[in-house]
Parts: sequence; structure tokens; C-alpha cells
Amino acid sequence: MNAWLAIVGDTWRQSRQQVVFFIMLGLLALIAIVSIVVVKPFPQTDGSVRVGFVTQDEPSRALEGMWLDAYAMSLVGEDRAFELFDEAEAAKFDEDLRAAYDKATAVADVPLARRAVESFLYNVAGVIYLVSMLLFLAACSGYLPNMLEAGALDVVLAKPIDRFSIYFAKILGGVAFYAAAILITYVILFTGIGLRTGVWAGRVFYVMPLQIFAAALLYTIVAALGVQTRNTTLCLIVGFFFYVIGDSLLEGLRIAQAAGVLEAWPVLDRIGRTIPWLLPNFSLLKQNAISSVLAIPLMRWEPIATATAWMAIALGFGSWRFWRTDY
Amino acid sequence: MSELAIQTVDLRKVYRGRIEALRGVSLRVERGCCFGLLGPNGAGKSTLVKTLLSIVRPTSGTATLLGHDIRSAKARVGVGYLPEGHRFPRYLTARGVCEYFGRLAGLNGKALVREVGEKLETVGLADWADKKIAKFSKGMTQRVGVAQALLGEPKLIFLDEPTDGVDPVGRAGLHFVMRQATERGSTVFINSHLLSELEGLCDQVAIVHRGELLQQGSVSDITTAVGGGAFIIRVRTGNLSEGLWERLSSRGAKREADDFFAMPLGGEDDISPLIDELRAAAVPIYAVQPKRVRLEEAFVEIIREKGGTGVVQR
Repeated sequence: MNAWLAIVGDTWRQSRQQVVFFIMLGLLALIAIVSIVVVKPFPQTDGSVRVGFVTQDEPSRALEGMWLDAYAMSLVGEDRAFELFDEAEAAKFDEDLRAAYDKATAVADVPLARRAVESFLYNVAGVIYLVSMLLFLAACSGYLPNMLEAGALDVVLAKPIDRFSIYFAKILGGVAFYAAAILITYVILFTGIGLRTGVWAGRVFYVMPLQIFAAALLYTIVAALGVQTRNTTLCLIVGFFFYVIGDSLLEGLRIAQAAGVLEAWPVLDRIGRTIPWLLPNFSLLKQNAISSVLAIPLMRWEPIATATAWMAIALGFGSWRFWRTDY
Repeated sequence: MSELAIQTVDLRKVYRGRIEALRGVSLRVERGCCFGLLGPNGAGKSTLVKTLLSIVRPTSGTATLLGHDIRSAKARVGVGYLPEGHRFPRYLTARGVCEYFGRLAGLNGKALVREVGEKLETVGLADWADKKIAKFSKGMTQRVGVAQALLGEPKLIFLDEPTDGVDPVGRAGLHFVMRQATERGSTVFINSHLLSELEGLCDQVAIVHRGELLQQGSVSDITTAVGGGAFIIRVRTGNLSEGLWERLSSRGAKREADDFFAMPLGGEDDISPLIDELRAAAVPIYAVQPKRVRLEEAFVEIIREKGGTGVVQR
């Protein structure tokens, strides 16, 4: 355990040496502070409070409505919005959506101020997710290649620790660094928004598990590549493209699939149906994560299952390569 | 408990591309001795150490450290290591480096703090403990490396070129540290190109060449074997007449620098007659000393016999 902590601690110190670490912390803090500054409470005559933006003279109905939209859409099925081919289907969708709104309004007895704050945090969490993921990728790409540099690793390997432990501790160290960075960000956000609006939206912390999971997935892939190539730049480039493909390309394919656009091309259609089970969809993982802010029953298991499989493969391959290689 | 600190049996390592770095090395190093491994560049010295420490995986053969199979992490308990050309994280201080590797070796708490302080003091870096090693000279970084290798009072210490880049004063200090370690009962295994260093420090040495173990024994075993058991003395005199020199050279005398000549004799009993002969010729005698074959000479001779020193001699 002592040795594990030493490697985790070293990864933390390694992170602190990187400019990108400070850029990441700075940007995350900036996003949190700006988010706190732009919202303000609007006390109502009945003693309640609603929430809006500092640039507006009245509470934000858009934020309040967004909460209900998200709730209703989660009930009716988000993907159905892309499946409106004919009038009958459109009418059926409208009918279901109205029912979902009624149900959401009845079920979700949530004050307007909380709805507005949660909707706002949902969007802020989306920005934090994207920024932190890309900057963490830049930071973690060098962890393994730097550790494997000639002369840097020998003493570590000569200690009475097996190589699997060294590898997993290195992974854990990187993930712990990321988790600490976003925990600090969400604590600032939670406290600042709470003090400013009186709404203590603790659900913002629910974003963290899946966000950390997605970052861990990206890191395990980059780490496995790092063990294989020992090249930071290559790790960064491949990691970036993997994320972009898993985020934008797969999401575009999913939307095209749902909209039936691919039906004219059977091969593409088959690929579109198969790929979500082959590659992790980072966009859906993000949706899953940030939807946790809203008290809505929305959770897609397909990207989580695929991402878990990828993580297991990347961890297995990376640790096996690390165990096998002569240094 | 095994009496041997290190034992290898027919250890082989073939790298990719079929480079045979170790060709069946069988080595025995007793506990508590200072052991030197010699060999020209590319002989397989570092590969042998790395294989023993599981940094490199053996192709075949077996090896134990302190009685434990090297494939087990247990074999590396109580083992210190200073690699050649190490690159410690530059963002760490000297204390940080030692604490990091100390924790990896299983130390913690007050024992770690005490050990780190002691070892940095031992290598003369107590005043630099909290400075980042990025600011250190090569010699200072090397001393940090030695300090971390000594943490936890290891029973077996591998030092790969330990005095590389260290000035003569620092080198003397490190020699003292190594002697202290062996006096404490640790086994010190040194890889070094500085044969004079090994000659003064090591109880046992081994010579490897092209992945093969050529000789193993005490320094005197090896030098005597190369010298063929001949007894040679060096004499420093005043001018020798031509006639006298012809007589001496016909008995194998050879001139050396600083008015010395070296001469093979049958034994110690032949020294007095030679001096009498010189005195009879009124030759002033300033010094008479036995000539020993140095380890370096023995090493070069052994390597040359095995196919060259890597230097083309014309």
C-alpha cells in the first residue's frame, strides 16, 4: 500500500510540473467563477425565490423550462425526436410528449429556483466535462512515456513491487489527479451557486462518477499506447482522435441512425448499428454524466458497457505489455 | 538462509534481433563481500545486473538474490540499486528522491525520515537535501543515487558505475561509504570501468566478455594467474654502464620510466645478489620494490586473449 501511495503521489507531483495542469485548473476555476457570477436570485412577492441571469431583469423561464423539457424528453425517449418520418408518427410523438409533460409536471414537484439552478448546472457541467477531458488528455499523455524514459524507471522496477502494481498505481494516480481537479471545481461551483442563489444543488456531484469513468477510459487507452510506443505526442494525437471519434462521429452516426438516414445504405446502416457496441460513445457518456444534475430517470447503459469493455481491454493490454517488456 | 547473496546458473539473455547479451553466466557471490564486475563496453555487465533485478527478463537459466528466485518480487526486498545513467525526476528535491524510493522499498513514517536524513548526510548532501536535483551537478546527482540505494540498510547493493562524474574527493567519500556498507555486513556489487577503484575496494571480481564469464576470484588470484606466478622487482638506480645493462637485459631486465628497470627473479632470495651486483659496479640504488601485475593489466591481457580489446593494435 505504501508503494502504491508513493507512485500515486509521484504522478500527482509529475502533473504539477506540467503547464497544462495549471491551464486546466485555471480554466476550470474560471468556468466555475464565471458561472457563479452570471446567476442571481430574484425574490418573489410571495416570499419564494426564482433564479435568472445578471443580464436580465426577471427570472429565466428558459432555464426553468429546460428542466421540464429534459424530464419530459427522458420519459418519451430522446431518440424519437429524430424519427419523425410521417405525420402519423409526428402526431404520435406529440401526443406522447404532452403526456410526458403532464407526468413530469405531476411527478416532479421541484421548486422553480431549483429547476433553474439544476438546468444551469447541467449546462455548466457539460462545459466542464469537455474542457477537463481535453486538458486531462493533454496532461496524461506523457505520464507513461515519461516514466518509461531510459534511466527513470530502473530504480522503480528494482524495488520489491510487481509490475502490475506499478502500472495500476500509475493509472490510479492519474485518475486521482483528475478526480481531485474536478472535485475542487464542483465544490467551488456548488458553494458559490448555493451562497448566491440559496439553492444547494448537491446533485452536481453526481456528475463526477461517470465523468471520472470517461476520463479513466481515455487515460487507460493513452497509457496502453504509451507503454507500446513511449511517445507522448503520438499518445496525445491518437487519444484526441479517439475522443473526437467517440464523441462527435459516433454521436452523428447515432443521430443519423435514429433518423433513418442510413436506411438507404444497408452497409452503412449495419455499421451504424454495430459501431455503438464496438466503440465507446463519449457523447452519450457525457449526457449520462451531466444528466445526473437533473433529477430525471435517464441512463443509457450501452455506452457504459462498451466503455467498460474498452477499459478492461486497454488495462489488460497495457499492463501485459508493461509486464513483458525489457527496460 | 542461503550463504550466497547472488547465484546464477547458466543465465542467458537474448534480445530481439538475436543479440546474445548473456551466454550462460554462472556466478556465485558470497554474502558480505564487495564484488566487482569488470568487462569492456557491451560485455553484458549492465544486462546481468538488470536481469538479476528483473528489469530485463532472462531467456533461460535461473538466478537467486539472497536465496529468493529473481522472478519473485520478494527477491528484491532488502536490495538497493544505483543504475548507470539514471534520470531521477528533476522536479524532486534530494530528500524527495530518497523519500520516493524509500517508500517504494517499504519504508515509511519516522523510520523513513530518519533514514533519508542519515543517508543524505552520509553522502555529504545534508545541506542540499531540500534543493531540487535539477540544480545539481552530475556528481551530486550521483551521490543522491548512492543515498537512495543505501536506504533501509539493504543486504545487497548494486552500484552501476557509482563514481561516474564524481570528483576525486567525492569519490574517496563514496569509497568510504561502500566500505562501511560491507563492514555492516551488506554485499556490495559494483560495475565499474575504473579498475583501480575496484582493485582497492573489492574482495572478489569477475570478468565478463561478450556475455560470457571469463574469470572469477580475488584480485590477487586474477593478477597472479595473468602474471604466471613470476616474481618481478623494480629497481631505481643511477647510471648503469653498458656492460652491466647488457648483463642485466640478457637476464630479462627491461627499462621503465623514471630510471626504473624491471627484472624477473627466481624468488625473494635472488634480491640480495642482484643488489650486491649493482653495488659492486658502484651503481647508486634509490628504490627496490616488488612489481605487481595491476588488475587493469590483467584485465586487458585476459580480454586480449579472448579476442581483443576493441582497439586495433598495429
